Amino acid sequence: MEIVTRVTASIKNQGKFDPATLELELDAAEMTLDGETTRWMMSKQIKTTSQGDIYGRKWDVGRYEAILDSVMEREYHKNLIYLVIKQGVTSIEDVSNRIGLDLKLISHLVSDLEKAGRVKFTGMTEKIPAFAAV
Amino acid sequence: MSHWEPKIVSFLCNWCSYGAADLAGVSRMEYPPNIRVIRIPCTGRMSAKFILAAFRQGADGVWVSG
Repeated sequence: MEIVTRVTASIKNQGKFDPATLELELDAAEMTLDGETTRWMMSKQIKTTSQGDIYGRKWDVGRYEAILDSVMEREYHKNLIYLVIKQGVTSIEDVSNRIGLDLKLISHLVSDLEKAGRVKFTGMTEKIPAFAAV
Repeated sequence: MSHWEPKIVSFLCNWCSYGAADLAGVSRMEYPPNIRVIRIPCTGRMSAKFILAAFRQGADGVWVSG
């Protein structure tokens, strides 16, 4: 009973959750969970931490989970950028203004998205590189 | 806003937490009515997508217990 009351109070303190204002973030999170990278890493976790990887190196569970977390964070950011570009935002700076990530990180992740064929460079608009979702 | 109560979706494991919630009910103990209980076969059946779905459908918080 005490735990229920504590959890309820904690959620109450965090305030109302409005899915309409966080639709982009929810979509990006869902894409991350559906993504090949996350599913591949999840599927390899038990084997890698109990029997070892293809080189026979056994991974510590904590270390594997830390890497999994960082990979998922990266994938989430990539999906967030992809969705913003898909909505029609073309420049790195505008993407940054929209989602608040660092310009350097966005440039780096946009290169990844280009390599994966999810985003394409469409040319320069007033000396600013423009991108579009594929 | 002062009367606002959060909607909490709780996913409870059939074999432990759900049993506890059931027992609380049988024992006539009261817990906040803003908690919606969803019984799942095991927390191993839980998917992060269930959490996202709950948030999308208006939950203010999600509780997974098992």
